[in-house]
Amino acid sequence: MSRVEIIGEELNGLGMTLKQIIETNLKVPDIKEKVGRLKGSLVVREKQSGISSTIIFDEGDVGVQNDAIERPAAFIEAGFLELADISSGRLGPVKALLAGKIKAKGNLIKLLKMSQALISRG
Amino acid sequence: MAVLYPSNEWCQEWKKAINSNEVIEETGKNWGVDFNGNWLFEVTPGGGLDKTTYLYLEAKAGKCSDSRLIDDPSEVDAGFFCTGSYELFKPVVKGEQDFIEGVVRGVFKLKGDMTKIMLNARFIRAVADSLGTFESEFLGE
Repeated sequence: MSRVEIIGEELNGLGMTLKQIIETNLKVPDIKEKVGRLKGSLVVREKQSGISSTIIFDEGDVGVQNDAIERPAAFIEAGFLELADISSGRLGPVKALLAGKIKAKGNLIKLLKMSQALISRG
Repeated sequence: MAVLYPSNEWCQEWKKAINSNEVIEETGKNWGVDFNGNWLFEVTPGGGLDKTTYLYLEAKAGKCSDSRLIDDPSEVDAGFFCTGSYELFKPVVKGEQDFIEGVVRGVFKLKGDMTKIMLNARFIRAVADSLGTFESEFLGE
């Protein structure tokens, strides 16, 4: 499994970006194994535009859909540049949280685990 | 003097603006180095533009080596393809709207390796910001 399913309508730009990053990361065996153990949902909100996408992890199956679902397991909000820094591995999610560069809600342990799917290893 | 967007003269002004920008040079030093960092913009009709127009931008290591209008997209080899209407590109060219926000919203459809976009997000923003550093004039205004 290295495909990420699109749930619902055509994805917005944020969702397309997240989908492609996760698909790239799932080609790495170590990440694929870790993602395979995840179950839960992560809402990512881009701060400036207010655009949200939800990533659903279901023990190996991954889906992305537009907008925020109600009561996700975890929620993260950041500007595009901060999201880019996290996904490119330049900024660790814990450091970003402690520095106030991102906002997070929900289960922070799950958030940190799920965010591994978004960090490029290339 | 204002240059008409889109035109080859405008493309040359953009190239000059990119190549004289230190932020672009610094943030883009890795752009296109081990991948195809060239861009093809498809500007679709509306807002005064009556036919689909293609702009090609060759970018590597923080510099632009070519920028021009092309008739046929198959003429060039671009790693990144962005499409949107003239009406929606206008505020970006005017410096009134953020290109990245347009991509996030899906106003502009972007095809290419998004991991490279994320890795070079500051370069992308700087290149987009360079659009507002020279005077443009527009069709339909």
